[in-house]
Amino acid sequence: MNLNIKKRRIPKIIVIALALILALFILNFFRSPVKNFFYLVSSPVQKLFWKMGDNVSALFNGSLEKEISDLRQKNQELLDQLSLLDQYKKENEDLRTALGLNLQKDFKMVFSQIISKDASEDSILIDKGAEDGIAKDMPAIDRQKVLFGKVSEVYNNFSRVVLISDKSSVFDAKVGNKEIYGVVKGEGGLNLYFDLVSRDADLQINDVLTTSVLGGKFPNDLLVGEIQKINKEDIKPFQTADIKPFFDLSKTDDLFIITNIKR
Amino acid sequence: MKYKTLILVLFLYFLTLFQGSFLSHFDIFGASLNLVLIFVCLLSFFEGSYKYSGIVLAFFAGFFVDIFSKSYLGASILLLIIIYFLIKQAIYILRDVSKKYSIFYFLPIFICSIVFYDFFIGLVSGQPILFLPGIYILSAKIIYNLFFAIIGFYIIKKYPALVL
Repeated sequence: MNLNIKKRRIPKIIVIALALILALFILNFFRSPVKNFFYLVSSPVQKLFWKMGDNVSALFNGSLEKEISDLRQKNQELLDQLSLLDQYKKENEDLRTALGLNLQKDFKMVFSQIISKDASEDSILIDKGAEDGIAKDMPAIDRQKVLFGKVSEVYNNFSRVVLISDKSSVFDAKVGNKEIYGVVKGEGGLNLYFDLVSRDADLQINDVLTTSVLGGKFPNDLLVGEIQKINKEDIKPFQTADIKPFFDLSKTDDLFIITNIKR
Repeated sequence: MKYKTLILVLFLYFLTLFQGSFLSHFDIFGASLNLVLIFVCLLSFFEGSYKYSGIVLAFFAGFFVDIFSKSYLGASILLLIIIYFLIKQAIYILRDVSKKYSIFYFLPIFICSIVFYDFFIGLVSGQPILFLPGIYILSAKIIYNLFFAIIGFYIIKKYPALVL
């Protein structure tokens, strides 16, 4: 009896499963407007939750943490200036030798607010989209020129930014003042590492990594992070290093999207 | 019953927003809290192996997660429905033998669910999770989520009418 009921149910279950898969397949053609609609409806609540999360996490971390955060911010500004000075020094040398002009223009940027983070992957949602001039692959930075990631999906009024710590993220970087080049790879969970660095390179703890224009993904000299641990093995042709990223989602509300990317 | 389902669908919607916008400030060692997955696991576990009314909630849970993540629409829906059915099968073997809602049955089921979900959601996004740093983050995620899953377990055990 039970077996008969089960046998009768099987075609019904198969039909329902196929219908579901078909419906989901079709729904993906309208993914962009569907997602944009939900983001539009939900963004006030999401902004409220994000602000609350910010305040509560600040409360948990206490005033000491705030002081550290302020110092960190100041440190990043100084590092940024240092990186800029290095760049000017090099430009100056280039100009002396080549007598050419290569002046860097300021970025054109769009201000945006973070409204949510993906629980399973390293990506965030911001409240600016195609209507605000955002396009795929544009870099996202904060006011200290700390690199967060790049735009991966653009909807009408919202965009998704894949963080540099996402497992799909790979880009060229350098230790600015030492001319050491390598590749920064994301390993998920907001972690990064520096790979493909020549074994002879004099990599040190606390060395500051900035983006390199070599890979063509990001503009030059955006701040990435600092070297935390160096991994050098005799059998490997390259050395690697763990990076402590400069970006901190728990203390950031606003991002700037570079719209006139000059690679 | 339909009224209650509607309220729970709305609850899931706000839970997804809360998870993405509020709880993302409280990641531990890169591990984030997945309350939606905890909800689906608890729902399936306490519903028993013969009732399937919670499938609607599993569907909407996946739908909201897909909407607010970078994955394709359908990835989390399918995964959460599969987890929902796998838990039914597991409790058919485990719990129905002893007729108890034991935490010791729920914990391994939940750990398997979170590993299954993370592995396949990573696979769908083209990110294999089976390398060392991924395992560390996964371990942190299991411990972090387990803590809240246990709290949820005892709440629903005491007040089953909340979701059933």
